[in-house]
Amino acid sequence: MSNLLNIIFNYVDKQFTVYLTTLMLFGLYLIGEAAGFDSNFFYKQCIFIISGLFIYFLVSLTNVRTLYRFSFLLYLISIFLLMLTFFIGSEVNGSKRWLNLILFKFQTSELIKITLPIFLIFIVENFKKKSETMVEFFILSFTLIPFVLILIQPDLGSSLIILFIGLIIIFLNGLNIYKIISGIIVLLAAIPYAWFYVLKDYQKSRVLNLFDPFSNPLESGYHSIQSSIAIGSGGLLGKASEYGTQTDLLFLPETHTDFIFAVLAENYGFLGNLIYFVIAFLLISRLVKITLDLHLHSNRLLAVTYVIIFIVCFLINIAMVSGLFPIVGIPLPLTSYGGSSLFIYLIIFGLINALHNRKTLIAN
Amino acid sequence: MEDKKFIFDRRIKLILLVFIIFFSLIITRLFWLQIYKNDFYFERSQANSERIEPIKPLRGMIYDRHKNVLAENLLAYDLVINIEKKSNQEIEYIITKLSEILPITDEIKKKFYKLKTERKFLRFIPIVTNIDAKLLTSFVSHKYEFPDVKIKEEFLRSYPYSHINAHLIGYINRISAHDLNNFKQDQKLLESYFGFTHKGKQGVEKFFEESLKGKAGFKKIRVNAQNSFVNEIEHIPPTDGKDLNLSIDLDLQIRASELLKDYKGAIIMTHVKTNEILTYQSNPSFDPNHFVNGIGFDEWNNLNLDPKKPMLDRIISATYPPGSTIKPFISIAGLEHNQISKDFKISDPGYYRLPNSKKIFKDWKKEGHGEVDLIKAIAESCDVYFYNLAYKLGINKLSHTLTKFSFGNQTGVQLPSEKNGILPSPEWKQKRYKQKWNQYETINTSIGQGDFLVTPIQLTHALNTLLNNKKIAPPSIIQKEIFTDEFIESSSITDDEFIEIVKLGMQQVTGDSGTFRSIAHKNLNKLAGKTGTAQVFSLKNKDYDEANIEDHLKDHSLFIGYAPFDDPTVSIAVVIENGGHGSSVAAPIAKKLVDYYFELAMNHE
Repeated sequence: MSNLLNIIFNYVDKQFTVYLTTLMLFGLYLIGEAAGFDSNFFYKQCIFIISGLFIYFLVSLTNVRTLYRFSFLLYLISIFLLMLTFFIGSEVNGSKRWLNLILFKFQTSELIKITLPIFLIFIVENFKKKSETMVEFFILSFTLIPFVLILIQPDLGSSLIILFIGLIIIFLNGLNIYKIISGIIVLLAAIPYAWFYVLKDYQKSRVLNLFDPFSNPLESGYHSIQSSIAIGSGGLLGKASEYGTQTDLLFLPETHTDFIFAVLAENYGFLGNLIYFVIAFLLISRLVKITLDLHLHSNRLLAVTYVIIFIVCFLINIAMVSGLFPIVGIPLPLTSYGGSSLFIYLIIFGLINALHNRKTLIAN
Repeated sequence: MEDKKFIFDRRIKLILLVFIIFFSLIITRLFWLQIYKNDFYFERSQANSERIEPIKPLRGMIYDRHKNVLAENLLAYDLVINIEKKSNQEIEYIITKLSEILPITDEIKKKFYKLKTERKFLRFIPIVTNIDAKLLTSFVSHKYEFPDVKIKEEFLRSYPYSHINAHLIGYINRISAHDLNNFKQDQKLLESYFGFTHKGKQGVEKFFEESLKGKAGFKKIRVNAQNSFVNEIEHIPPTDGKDLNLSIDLDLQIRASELLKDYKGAIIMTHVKTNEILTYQSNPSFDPNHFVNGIGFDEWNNLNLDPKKPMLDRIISATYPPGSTIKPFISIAGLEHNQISKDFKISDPGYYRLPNSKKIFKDWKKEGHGEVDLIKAIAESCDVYFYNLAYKLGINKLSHTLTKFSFGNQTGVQLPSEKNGILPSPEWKQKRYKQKWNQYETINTSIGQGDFLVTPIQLTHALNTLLNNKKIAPPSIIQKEIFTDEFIESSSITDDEFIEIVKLGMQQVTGDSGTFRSIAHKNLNKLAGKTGTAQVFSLKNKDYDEANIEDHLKDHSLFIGYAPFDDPTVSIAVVIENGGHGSSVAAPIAKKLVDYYFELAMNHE
């Protein structure tokens, strides 16, 4: 038995796994505070963490070469599921994001976050000899397909992440500076277009609320204000000893999902936030170290893309909760309640472990 | 290839730099929110979750002098709608749904919306007040359909004797927009009404509002986002209002109300020595209970447009010519200005001619009273005697004496909207009409006619002043703890001898030849007094034919009296509008009530 465990642990980075688990348990505790330790959310999250870790270990064992080989197929499956969601997905709050798989609801936009980078790196590797512009064109095209599919769900946050994945890969692959500048110009030009034709009213007001949340305190500004109140009222040490009035009394709704950070901030204050950041920092720096140590450029590119997605989601969620960023539905990685998001990150980290293992295998 | 790796490394570093900057921004933002602006946000979080709920005090009870309850607080249930954060359509929907199980009339709806617009800071607006058990049951069985409708316990002000004490006690009513505007002039007043829904609007309820209402307590509670109660943070209990013991005797009130049943008029009975009011009855009356939760528009209109004026408090807010009841006071004026003495006599041919004028003033008795001295003049109410006296006195001396008895001034009774009445004088006429005084007006004043107007309460007040020969404290409706005389000044108003002469005359009124001689031989309780018949309408040179005159033009019937005449204990004033002769209507009523007083007094002993 201990032998088997040893084998398993040999395939994962131990230090990293400890940080990872700590952060998830931290999140679990906060979910307990937000939704109740006897609530369904708490129990379900326990199950998610356990099964997530299992998947994490399992994924760590995979051979990444095989993944590359099937990357186009994985990409196609992801696209197919996105389209399926468009037709038979279950609708919540006016957007179709989930496939009902009876046991749980599966958010199909999450899967593409894993498969898209693999497929894009596969393109980079296979078209090495081709012109760079050609490669960049392919990457952009294969990115835009899922981007549009997710945008019309509508799920602005996830679609922007998909677009971001494509752009970051192009950027890291050595896009020359003139193209970067012209790209930025194109993006800037697209903003007015997006504002008038793509963004829905509620999305626009979320952006506007950033500048003046009190203009509409009961509707679109509500989350932003209540969240700021929750965080601000936490002070240095938080209100854990008495009442976390904002989050306990539900003035700030959905605290166990996207706004879990507000629970932390209100109940444990600035100091609590710092402790959380220290754990997150240890995790991220370990991730970065593993990633940058990878030998093959393609593997490093893939791993770095995953790590960047993780960090970006992490930062955007906190910026959103603290009123620095519009409210886009991005959960706090490893901490917010929710199976789909947790599994995706654990699969990503499993893959990074797998890449790391290949490096050691090659070295051996 | 190496080139690519170089670019990659550099760009990775760039991205990490961006992340670090972004992260520092977040840390700065958190520091700003949690440390720098902590107080601000902490307060806001409290404002979110803390509610201050007032706890209403119990309004003071009102008792009569024998501890009978005249105003009390009954437990009642109201259905209230929580209108917080609700649109008009949502509220309308709730009401429509409610009307499927409860009888909700347009009148009720109108009241609800009026209250909603008037009282902007109310979260719960009553839709059905004092709901009866049957309807409450049917609501409770549908309760789950109405998450925003709550059953609220309320204390309902109740006046068990309804119309019998209506004018005296008055009523409380919901605080109106008008009241709120008044409160806003005075921050302290506004604060003192925080948590109150009702306020005294008339009578004792209005005058003693301050002590009856008490002080609201507060409950600071914590609520969640759905506004449901979570826990209690602070609790300051209310201070209940003070009970009030009135000097009124309920038995006398009931009796007086029966006596007045068929008339428009007023009865006031007081203790001679203390000026405490024992009976305070004005008829027709109204049911104050209908006002407590807001009277319906139609009912209010009916009450206000009724020609009989049921809302009018005829004791302090209505004025009447005193008629002959003023004669005892005119007599005092004559005596103290040495124009007459006890034995001064005139001969009355049935009319009086004003010297140097052709103007003739008739006596009520066509054939005249013959030889008349002061006692007879009072007893038989000889007009010519007083015409003569008034002419000799002149208006200034006359009004000088009458002022001492508070005519033309409020008595200062502890009730709202007391009228002044009018004591006519040259100064008054100059001020009022910018005209000179005519001598014939002096003559009219001497028999309580012309512009002379008094309230019934002024009559008892003046009578009590006369009987005590002292400036007496204002009439009181509060029971006095110790049975003592209360005089503002210890010095006498006039010579005791003059008082005795006038009292002798008033004693003769119920004697063998007096105007109220019908009780001469059955006057067990020694009632003395003075009758009065006040002209409402002057019939120029036409004879007053009682049988053929419209009701509202008939004379008012008045009587003032006291008993027993050798040791005055109670005094009474009765005014019956359009009742005809004082001796035929007002005086018998006074006699019956005085007799009942002594009957009760004996029983209480």
